[in-house]
Amino acid sequence: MKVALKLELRRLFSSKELYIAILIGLALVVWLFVYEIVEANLFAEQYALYGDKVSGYLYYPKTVFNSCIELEYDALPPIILYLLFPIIAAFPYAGAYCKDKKTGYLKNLLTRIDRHDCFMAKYIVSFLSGFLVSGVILLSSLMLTMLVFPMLTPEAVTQNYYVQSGNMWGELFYTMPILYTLLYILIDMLWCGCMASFALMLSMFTPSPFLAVTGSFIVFEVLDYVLSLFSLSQFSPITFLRPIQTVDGISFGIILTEFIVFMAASFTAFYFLERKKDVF
Amino acid sequence: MYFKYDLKVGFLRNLPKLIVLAGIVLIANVSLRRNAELLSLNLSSFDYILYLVKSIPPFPQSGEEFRFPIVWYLIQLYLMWIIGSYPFSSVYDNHGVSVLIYGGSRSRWYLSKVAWIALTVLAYYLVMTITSLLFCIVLGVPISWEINLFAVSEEFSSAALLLPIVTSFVTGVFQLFLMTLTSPIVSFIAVAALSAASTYITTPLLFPNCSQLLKLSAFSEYGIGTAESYLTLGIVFAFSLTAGLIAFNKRDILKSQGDEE
Repeated sequence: MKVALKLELRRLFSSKELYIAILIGLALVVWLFVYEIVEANLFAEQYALYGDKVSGYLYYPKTVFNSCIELEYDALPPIILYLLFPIIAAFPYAGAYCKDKKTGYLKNLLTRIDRHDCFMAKYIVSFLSGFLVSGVILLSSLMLTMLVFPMLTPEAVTQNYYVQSGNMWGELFYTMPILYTLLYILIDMLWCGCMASFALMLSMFTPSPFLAVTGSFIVFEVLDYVLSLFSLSQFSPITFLRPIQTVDGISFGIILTEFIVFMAASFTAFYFLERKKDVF
Repeated sequence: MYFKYDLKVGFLRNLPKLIVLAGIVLIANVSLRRNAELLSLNLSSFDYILYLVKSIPPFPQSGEEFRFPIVWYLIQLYLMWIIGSYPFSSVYDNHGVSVLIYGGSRSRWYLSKVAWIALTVLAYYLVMTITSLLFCIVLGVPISWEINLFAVSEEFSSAALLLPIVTSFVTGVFQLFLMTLTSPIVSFIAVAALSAASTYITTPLLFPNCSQLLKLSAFSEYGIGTAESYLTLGIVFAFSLTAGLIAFNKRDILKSQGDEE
């Protein structure tokens, strides 16, 4: 198992897809960061000229908790990032299995490594790839924002925050916002790992890495659309992954249950069914 | 020779994928029907077709809250997915290289893919229209050209109604160009991001805007002009086609073997 895992991890870290996925995410993070800085400077200039009359309200500065990519609610980069997360998470590794089958690499591998170890290692590394990519992107945004903006405890009356006290962990957000942000980042990382594993499962059904990597994205988008029609958006991973919680009714129970269901489905299919297929 | 091959392998074998599109269109129609009944709206069959590409008015100029146009996005995304899945699917393996050599011209190979995109886009919109019409016939919705779903401005012309189809075709050609430069997955991510950005920012530079009816001046006060849209699409098409042809002719196919997607 250790050998197979080491081998797959080496493949992951030497693949250009991993770095492309991280670069795409970081590009969005930097885009938002520049946007926030420009916005904050514009406001500061206006404030220096007109004081509190500039917006008719008391001055309230931009903070980490409404400027990082997780918690910004009024800009384009977070919309794109959370929309594309299923594909960004799956991109580094989910297509590798298709290539292994197509090139015959899998056959060579199975003559040297135990089947159980081989498929288990592939599943674990697939999960880790999504987990890692999302973690790097989200934590980079948080740390970059912390360099510039203050970590003021959010005040609900300022109406500068999208999270409501009635939302999941809403009270935590208004008392210990950094803990809320880190916990939500952990949820996002776990879910991105889950999405990458789901894409790996799809690669069982197609010889094309394109269909495997993008297929999970299409599945999650269609699921999001169908659930939104029945006013059940709180059950859609694409919706509940955003820490600003754009719909009511999101709960930790829903997030955890769906995580277990998706993980169990992908693991059962990939480890128990695909492993038994004759590749020779 | 290439187009015949694309017609057989790329078009006819991909037709079953359009069943999913019919499913998405049916769900969207059911949703619109439910809303129309709740709001007592008298919609025509044309409204049901336009609903699929109407999207949202320019943001933030319209003053309305930003609501992501999931129906429009999903329909465009699925088309991009179909387009992304075929052209480079076999060019980097031995079979693809044999086909390329047998045809004798890389430019013809590329132009054949452009023709395949045009055919796919037409079939795609045809399936959307037929599904909506069948839905309307079954539920007794009046079959007419009336537009009751949203207001039509003085700048309206029938040319504006063709923009979604033309934009989808140009987006497909642009995606093909990006595929030539990078890979099908990266090009798919790029056009998916471009389309998402176009829902938020209204400018002809983000050309997927031109396929969102409510982002056009024919239907919205702050929208993009029809002539402006066609001009932008013409420039993007000319650039994508020329640059794509040059890039594909210069590409080292044998060196790229093993990178196939």
